[in-house]
Amino acid sequence: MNTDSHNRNVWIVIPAYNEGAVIAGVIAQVRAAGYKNILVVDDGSADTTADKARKAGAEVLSLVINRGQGAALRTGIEYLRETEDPDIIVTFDADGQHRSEDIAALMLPIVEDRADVVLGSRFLEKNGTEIPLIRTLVLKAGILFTNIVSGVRLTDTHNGFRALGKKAIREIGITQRGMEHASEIIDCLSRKQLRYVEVPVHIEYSDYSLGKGQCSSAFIKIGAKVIVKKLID
Amino acid sequence: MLKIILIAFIVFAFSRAVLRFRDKSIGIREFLFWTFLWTIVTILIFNPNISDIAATSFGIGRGADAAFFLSIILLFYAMFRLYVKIDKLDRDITDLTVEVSKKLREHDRL
Repeated sequence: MNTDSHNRNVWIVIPAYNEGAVIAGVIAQVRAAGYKNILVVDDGSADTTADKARKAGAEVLSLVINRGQGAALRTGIEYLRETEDPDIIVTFDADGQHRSEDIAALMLPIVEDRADVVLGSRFLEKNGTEIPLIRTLVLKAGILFTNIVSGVRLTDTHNGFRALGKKAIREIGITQRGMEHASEIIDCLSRKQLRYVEVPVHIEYSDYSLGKGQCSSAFIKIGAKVIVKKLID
Repeated sequence: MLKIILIAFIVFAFSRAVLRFRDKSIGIREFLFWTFLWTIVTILIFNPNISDIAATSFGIGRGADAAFFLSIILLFYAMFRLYVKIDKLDRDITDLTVEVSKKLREHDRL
């Protein structure tokens, strides 16, 4: 499946912060899978992320200062909504964790009008993903926490690999600038009455992606921020 | 001696509030709040027995304990207010960054 075969305006949004070492490879992988509309949102990187992404054939939108993954995604989604009127937006990590082969399966429920949001899950079925034990425990705790707070039952809540259909692109408003945006998006599913489904995806853990990813203690901070936001709002 | 130190501190703190009110860093409501707070503290310094009467009416034995509990409540409230303000500033900076970045991208495309 690719953009043309379904005549849909599909955009791959890749938030990136100091990913100069791998961004070109990630873009090449996505392009090779048939997706030409790629928007890299450079989150105020101090390295050559923006230049390398541009040279690799992606559109680049640079945040003037580093604001976090939530802010980068928000900028990308808002910008595309205002300028390109996309049918589907797929959010894809810049560190090489995600596989472009999974994009088609991720978009399918939207193409078939079964869902407004499709969430990638590394826990849905045995798909070869080897997740480090500590990471598994922390993720499971995060899943339990998010499920309780949002009331939405999911098997994987902090997976950046997701697809948004037209309604979701219009309705989901990200206000959390950091990693808490993942919980916020799930919160939106019930609040905005969006149809959602999970699809198994493969996560490629490498020393690089584990080094770049959230350290386990950061999930406690994310949980605290989610609770405080609920108190303030 | 302790009373003199406390009064000197109150005069200093209140003068800060006056200066901030004069340069419009704080509004009339905040200024009145600080005026009320420091007035109460001054009265209590000269008449500590009043705090005992107030404490007893709340079921707390000593005025000093009541002042301690009240201070903790006020500090938590002040912290919460500060958190809300900082959070709003943080959101404003993000909004600004997003809008400027989108505009720059549009400008570059033209």
